[in-house]
Amino acid sequence: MLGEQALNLIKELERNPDIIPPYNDDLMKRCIEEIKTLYQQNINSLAELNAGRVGAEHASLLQARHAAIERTKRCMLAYIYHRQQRLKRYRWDYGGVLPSTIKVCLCEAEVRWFHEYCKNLADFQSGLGESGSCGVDLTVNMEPPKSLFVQVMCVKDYDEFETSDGTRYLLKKNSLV
Amino acid sequence: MAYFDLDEILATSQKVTCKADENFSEEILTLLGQGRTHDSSEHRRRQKETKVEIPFWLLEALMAKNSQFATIELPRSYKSAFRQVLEADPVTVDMNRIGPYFYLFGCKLASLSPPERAQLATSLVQTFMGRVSWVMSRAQHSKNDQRPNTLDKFECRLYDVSVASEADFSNWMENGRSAEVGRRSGSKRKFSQMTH
Repeated sequence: MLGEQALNLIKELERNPDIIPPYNDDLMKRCIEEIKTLYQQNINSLAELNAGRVGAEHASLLQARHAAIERTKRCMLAYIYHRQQRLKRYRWDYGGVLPSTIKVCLCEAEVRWFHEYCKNLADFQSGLGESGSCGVDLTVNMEPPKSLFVQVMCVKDYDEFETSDGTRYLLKKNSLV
Repeated sequence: MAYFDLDEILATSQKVTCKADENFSEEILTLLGQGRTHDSSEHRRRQKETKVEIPFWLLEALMAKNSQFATIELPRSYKSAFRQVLEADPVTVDMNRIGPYFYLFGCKLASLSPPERAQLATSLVQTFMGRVSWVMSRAQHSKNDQRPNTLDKFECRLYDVSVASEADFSNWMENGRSAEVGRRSGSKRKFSQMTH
């Protein structure tokens, strides 16, 4: 059945929401084979059409095969994309170390991607904050602060500061307010 | 990101019956695994208006090139008989049984200009409007209940979001910042200061 293999990839993802199922290398290979076969058949049909050996209704067959190729491609790309999204969320939820239970479910390219992503994130985080400090860990506080007020450390002397609700603060260098 | 959306891919894999004109090659059916065996002399002389059943994604692709390609026959759950059932009482209908992608697939069908398109569109909206208040009230008032299994996938997601929001809100009301804000705003200004 046309496009059936590729649909099985999607169904596998649908059956296991949120977790990363083992990479189905076999099914991916079969989808690629299907694409190659359909493409080859299309090239042959096109040659025959141009030579006038077959009638015009073959044009719809060409379109159908092409639609099947596009469909299989879409399913495969969606499969890879959703796995990548789940892996990305894993990094933010659990940190940059892959336990072997997860690693065994990923293909090599995904493991490589994960390391690259962690490296990018680490580089980005170390560039934040003041130069010379070790940067900000963005994954620690994933929710906005619940309190209305925040503690600040003053860097310059300012003497007295009055806020809009009437509270007065004394701002001196290196004091915590 | 509709291209990568799993729900869209699954919804468009459903099969649709339609009447195709003579440009529809029999071989497509062979590709689909539905090939009929007949001798090659009959191959060209296809009857016009024979019914074929093809997956929706294939129909969409073929009709994009040639919109006269086929006339769609609406599936049973979108026909006028069923539409009347939906109009009578949308809440009791088991969406899961008639197709878990009822709304999504209905929208997709409507985009291909089937017959009775306007009625189909109206029916989809009316059904949803009829059901949404029931889904939301179930979500917000039954804390420990299971999600009803008569919901379409779209309604399921709505239900889950509703339940989560309701839990967050009641948590906030009881434990969270609201209690503290109440205390602070009571003592923020003395009356004497305000009269300045």
